[in-house]
Amino acid sequence: MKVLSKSISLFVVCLIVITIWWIGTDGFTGFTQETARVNKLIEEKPMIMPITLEDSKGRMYTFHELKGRRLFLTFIYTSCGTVCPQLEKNMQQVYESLPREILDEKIMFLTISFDPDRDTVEVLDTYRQYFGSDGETWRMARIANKLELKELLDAFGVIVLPDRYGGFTHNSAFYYVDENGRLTNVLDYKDIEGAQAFLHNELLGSEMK
Amino acid sequence: MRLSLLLYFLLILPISREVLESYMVTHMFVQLPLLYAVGMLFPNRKEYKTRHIWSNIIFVLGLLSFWMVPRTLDDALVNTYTEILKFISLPLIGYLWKVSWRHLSEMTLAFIYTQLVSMCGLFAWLYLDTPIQICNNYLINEQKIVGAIYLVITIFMCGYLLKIAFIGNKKT
Repeated sequence: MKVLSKSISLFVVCLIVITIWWIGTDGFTGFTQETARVNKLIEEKPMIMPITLEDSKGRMYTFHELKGRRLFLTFIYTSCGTVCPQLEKNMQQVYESLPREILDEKIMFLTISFDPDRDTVEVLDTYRQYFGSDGETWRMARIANKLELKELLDAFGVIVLPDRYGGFTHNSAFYYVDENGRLTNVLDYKDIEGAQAFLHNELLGSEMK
Repeated sequence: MRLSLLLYFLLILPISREVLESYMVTHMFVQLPLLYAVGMLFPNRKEYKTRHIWSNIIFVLGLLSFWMVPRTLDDALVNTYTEILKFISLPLIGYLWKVSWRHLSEMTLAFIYTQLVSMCGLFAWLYLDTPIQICNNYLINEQKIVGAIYLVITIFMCGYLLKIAFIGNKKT
């Protein structure tokens, strides 16, 4: 009898512990909130909303006007000295791996600044030149309206925390929006080859159909 | 009893929660240990039945390691259920550990201790070395401080191990 009650309690406790772990880590897949966020986005595929962008040439347009073109997005601020330049350098490598005609017709690279106060049109225009962006097939833009900016950051799960030194701590990734305006993939920005392979498959693969 | 409940009450106050949870360091190394202390300070019943020791230990270790996963801290900030779980499970862990650990053999205790040392070392390395942000809701430099504290804890725990190995742990 003692042994029985012992094993029952042991079993129950194991069950409780495993359940808590299972729920807390989405079935042992998300051990940081970042992986959990990415998994959730890929599963839910949110629509991109009609938010107004202002690009490095001072043009204003909404995401809906870009419909029909796939988007390859990153979020940065230009005063950033750590992750953002690396993110953009990696984006440049992905950008340069694609053939010209694909860049002209099918996909647009878009870097969005979440620091509209400092990142003016002129600042963005200077910044884009560091990474070989032409301002057309790879645009850099800001969202001047802070409410709209917050809406977009929330929808994509981009968390931006101001630090004490006038900078931001933020999570980084490559975001891919398909031709219907749906965010369908979030890619590791450090895995350049993975992102290249994904885009080649997505863009050149569909051409053969 | 009173002390334990008073501490729990203080921790559960919205103001102390807000202050302690606004920094990663205080969240991890002040609030969580104090919640654990709430359980430790809770008085024993006269004679604790020794029957379910292993259930207790598995619960303690399983949940203690759960609270070491970077994500759980993040979740506790944004998810109410996780926050509630935190406030229930940590005092429970403290209490269960307090009533159970004396019944374990020295060998088992030593095993758990070395596991803890390596775990702290691993987290020190993880938080200090990583260039990326592990907890989405906290700044990167806070992450470094947490890593440094883990490192200090690891060094002290290793020091204690060395002391036992070469000097012995007899309390004279």
